[in-house]
Formats: sequence, C-alpha cells, structure tokens
Amino acid sequence: MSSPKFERVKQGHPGLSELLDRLGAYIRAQIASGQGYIVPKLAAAALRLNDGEAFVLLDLLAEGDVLRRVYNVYCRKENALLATVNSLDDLDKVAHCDFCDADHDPSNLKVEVAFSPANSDLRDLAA
Amino acid sequence: MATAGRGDDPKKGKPVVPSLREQAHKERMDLLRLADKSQYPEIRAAALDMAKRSSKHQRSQEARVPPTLILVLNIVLAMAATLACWYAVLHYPPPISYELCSINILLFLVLVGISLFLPGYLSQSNFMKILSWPVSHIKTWWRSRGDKQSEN
Repeated sequence: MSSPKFERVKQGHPGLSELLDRLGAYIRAQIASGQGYIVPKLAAAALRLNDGEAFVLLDLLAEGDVLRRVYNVYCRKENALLATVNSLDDLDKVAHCDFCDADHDPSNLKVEVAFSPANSDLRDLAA
Repeated sequence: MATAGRGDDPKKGKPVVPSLREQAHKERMDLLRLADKSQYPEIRAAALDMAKRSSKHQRSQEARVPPTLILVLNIVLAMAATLACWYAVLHYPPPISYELCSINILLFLVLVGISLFLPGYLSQSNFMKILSWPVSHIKTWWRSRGDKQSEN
C-alpha cells in the first residue's frame, strides 16, 4: 500500500510509520479478501494494538483521504447490518428495519464506526 | 426516524435514549480515551487533538441556538449598553452617572452570560462567576450606603 496520500500521512507522522505500514498491509489484505469495511476492533486484534490505537491510525488515514469514515447501523435484536452511512447527519435518517419490519427506536439500534477505502485510492489499495 | 434527545424526559419521567448520532460520538470518544493510554506518544497526541475537534464539532451540532444569532444578540446588547452609558454620562452628575454606567455594564455582562450559558457555550461555574459580580457590587454599594448613614 503505497499511494501518494498514504505516504503523505506517514510523512506527517514519522513516529507511526511502522504501525501505518502494518495497518496498510492489513487493509490491503482485507480488501483483497473482499471485505468492504475496516473495523477498528478487528484491525486492533490483527495488529495487536488496543482498539483506540487502531482507531486513531485509521482516522489519520481518513484525514489523509486514504480511507473514508463510515457508520454501520445494526439492529440489536437481529444483529444485522441495516445501513452504512457516510456522515453523522445521515444517521438520523436510518429508520426502517427490514429484518424486523419495524421502525426501531435508537435504543434498538447500534452504531459502529468503520472505515472504507476512499474511492480515489481504491485502485492503489488493491494493487 | 431514529431520533431522540438527551438525558431524561422531565415531563414523562422516563429516560430518553441517545440518538444514533450521540451513540456514534460516544463510541468515537470511548475509542479516543483508549488511545490516550497508548504507549506511542504520537498516537496519544493525535487522540487528544481528535477528541478536542470532535467535542467542539459535537457542541456546535447540539447547540439549539445558532452561534451567529448569539453573536448578533451580543453585539446589539453591547451597543445598547454603550448608548445607555453615554446617556447616563450626558444627563446625570458624575457620581450617579458612574453608578448607572457600572449597573449598565453589569447588566450587559449578565445578559451576555445568560445568552452564552443557555445554549451551552459557557460552563456553569463561569456563569456563576458572572452572576457573582453584580451580587458583590450590590453588597459593596449597600455597605457604603450603611456607612454613610451611620456617619450622618
């Protein structure tokens, strides 16, 4: 994973260069295996970091336009992914649960912060 | 629509569940708190910076009154206070005009404090500090009035 944007993020954080390289390799492997989203918790487990550290590294890549921040909304009852939205504003538009065929209260929904490759870098990541 | 407010609903007495936006913000802040315990100083610094920006953004999103409206309101209040002071100086002798000006300024500060406190831009402790200024002014004035009466 060596897109110009990724390199720029590494240059901005020289102390995290090695961790970002490991994360880059993980992201590439995830994309190659068909995973659409990078979940901080799973990345943390794979890289042997704590969830917060993985999140910060992923967020740095999102700030560098390598990744895109997304929010996955799950039905708590069915534990099923209902929607993936790109912004916090769109979260309030998530309404109907097709699995339960009901309009859930927010207490019955769960939000997970995740990351997906930014469109422009998708080609670089998969390369 | 998956929307809800914060805290408890005082009318119904039942807890109001946080909206999805608030849940997302909380998850983000929880992760940043975890990152703050990292062994990597650069991750800690980045987490702190992200937390600051995230909180600021969340506060502005939660604000019920737009910041521009508050700014306009405070500018109008400042102009009114200035005009009132000017009027007092022109129409009253110095001791009274000074007192009127100080009352004007204190009233202005209290109104600014209220306009900032209600939408959540000012903390409760700072708001209480502002409220204590007119109280201490009244106490000082009352004491000096008492002293004058005892001299007479």
